[in-house]
Amino acid sequence: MLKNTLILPESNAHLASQLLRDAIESLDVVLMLVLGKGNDEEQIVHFADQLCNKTQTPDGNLRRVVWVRDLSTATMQTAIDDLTGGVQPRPQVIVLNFFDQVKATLAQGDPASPLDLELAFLEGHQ
Amino acid sequence: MNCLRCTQGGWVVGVLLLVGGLTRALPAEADNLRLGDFFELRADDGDGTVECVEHGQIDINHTLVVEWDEVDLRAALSDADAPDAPAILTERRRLETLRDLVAEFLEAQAALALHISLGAPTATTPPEIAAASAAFSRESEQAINALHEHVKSLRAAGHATAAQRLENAANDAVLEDYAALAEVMRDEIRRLGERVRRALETADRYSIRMRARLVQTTGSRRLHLVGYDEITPAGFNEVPRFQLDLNERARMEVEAAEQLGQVVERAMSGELRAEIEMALEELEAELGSLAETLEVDVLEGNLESALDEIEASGEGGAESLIEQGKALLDTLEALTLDVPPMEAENDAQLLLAIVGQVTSELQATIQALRSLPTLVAAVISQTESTLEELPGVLRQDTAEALQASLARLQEDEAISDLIQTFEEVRTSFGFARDIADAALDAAAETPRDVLDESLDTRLELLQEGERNSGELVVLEAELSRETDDGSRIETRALRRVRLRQFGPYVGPRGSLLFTDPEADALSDQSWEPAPALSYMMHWGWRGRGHHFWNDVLDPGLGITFLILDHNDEDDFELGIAASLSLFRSLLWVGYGRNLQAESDFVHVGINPLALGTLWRERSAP
Repeated sequence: MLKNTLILPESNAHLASQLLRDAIESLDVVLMLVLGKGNDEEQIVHFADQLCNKTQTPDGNLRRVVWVRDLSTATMQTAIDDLTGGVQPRPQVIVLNFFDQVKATLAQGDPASPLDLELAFLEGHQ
Repeated sequence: MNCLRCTQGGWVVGVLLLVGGLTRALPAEADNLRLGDFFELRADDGDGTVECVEHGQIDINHTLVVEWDEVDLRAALSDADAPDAPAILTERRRLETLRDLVAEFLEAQAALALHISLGAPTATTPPEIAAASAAFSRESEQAINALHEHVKSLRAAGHATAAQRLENAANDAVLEDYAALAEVMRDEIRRLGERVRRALETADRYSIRMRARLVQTTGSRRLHLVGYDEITPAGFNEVPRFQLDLNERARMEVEAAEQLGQVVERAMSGELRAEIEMALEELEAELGSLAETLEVDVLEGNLESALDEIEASGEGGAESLIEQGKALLDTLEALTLDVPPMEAENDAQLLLAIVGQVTSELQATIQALRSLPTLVAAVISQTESTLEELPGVLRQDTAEALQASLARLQEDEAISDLIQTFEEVRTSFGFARDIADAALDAAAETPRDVLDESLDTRLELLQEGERNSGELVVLEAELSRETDDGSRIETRALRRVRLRQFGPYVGPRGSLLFTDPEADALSDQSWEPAPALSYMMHWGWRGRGHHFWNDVLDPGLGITFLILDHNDEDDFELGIAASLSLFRSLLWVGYGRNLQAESDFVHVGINPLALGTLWRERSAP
């Protein structure tokens, strides 16, 4: 069960975009965005969700995961490109720090073991 | 030798120690391994508090704890000796890195956990949380990166299975919590440490010896280090802050002052020179009988005959015996002494000449005596091997004579007696117990194997008998390598720690004072020497920046009692004075009252044994 993950809806791009902006702007957390859907992305999300549990505070975890399953719409692509500066190809994983700055990315094909994801999260803490 | 014993007293001691004295130069630490980097000194107050020894001093009633880093030492030793040294070196570095990072990682995690657990107000202040988590993330990143590198190294070294096992364990652990990840890293550190240990077991063995000495006014003596020697401590001796009983040091100082006073008077009357010359002749006779006691002539003859026969035979393979035999001959030659007659215009010059010559001769003889048992054992062993491998190289009578002579030298009693003789000689010159210590060094040490679980030890000062504030503990560690050819010392380390009573303390001291009565009628009694007993208060400062006060100036203020002889009409004259001592009770000044003569006096003075302490500390290794 994914307790620390927000899964953006695939059927409503506008809502998904709004939820993504809210997640970035309003949460004082280290945010990991996982882009795409597939077995690899699902595995990454499951790992990342568990890694969030190690940073519990009385007000919740310091880490969160947002799974962007559908990147086909222009709205979502624009939202992601705004974060990454339009880098192509788009990364598979993006980590934002408390101040909404991109601190780490993992490209498609990069190792994404729990240790690699933990390192990405740790860079987001800086 | 009786005439050169304490009858000359402290003045002789002082002069001798000024111009000579034994030095014990140790070889410098090996450049590639600094043994001192592998242990730390701590002070245990007996109430559960153990702290690092600060500023080179320890409370006089505490316990000195020596803590070794055996893992680092084992790993460092493996660099040059293991068959697969390059791989071991790499693993050692990884071990060090991982160990340091795990410690920092856990500290940072604990700090972050503490910070975010403080409660809601803190938890909702992102900048503070951000700062704490940034610090934590830096430490954690290093630790995990180090682990990654270690896994890669394992794969590169061909340990794919071990690498995969470790990687899987780390990935599972990180999903759980940081403690689990740290445990994985610690397991890997243990595994690496075991690997280094196994590599050491196949290589040469190492052992550690440690010794501790206390440098005092009355001499230098061995202290008991748990696990490193067989000297058993006796009694429980806490040093009180206000000590009014006459302790051994004060008793000896007064005695030395009495003797010194007599020497001064005899020097003034010209009796001293004749006594010194007679004592010198006795010394030569005593030392000249060394060779006779050991039957050195017989052994030299047998050894030279054996070496000649070997060389004449032209047989190869006996080079080791020849080399060791020659080393033994050289050592035996050093056992003979020759002190030529010295001319001097006055007694002081004569004393200086005696000290210079005799001291260096004594040093050479002591070193030869100490090395003798090891050399003899080596020659015996080599002789037996050579006779076995080259049966015809020596005639039977030559071999039997040589072995019998060597066996004679192995009798400890003869050497122990000689060492005792030297002890008496040295005591006469004021060097207390160093020769007996040399014998104790050879007999009483217990080397510790570096593969032992712990090399740590303790020095229980409370059980070490009389000791005084300002005295020096000299701790020596020695690393030896045991090979098929014997034991070789690789490197040494020294630490010096000063005993200190902090705050105010009072204790008795002896001195020789020269008094000058104020009364005109007593003016012909100016500067008469008189031994004195004082009770002096000192103050020991804790912390940095007080070295000059504590260890150089060490001022004392107190009351002095002495027997005077200012007035011929009085049979008994007691003087009481207020005194100031300086430079660790070496110099004295004061003002007092002769109760019977009803006259004031000023005094200046010295403590002859304090001078000896200063020199002994300077000469201590």
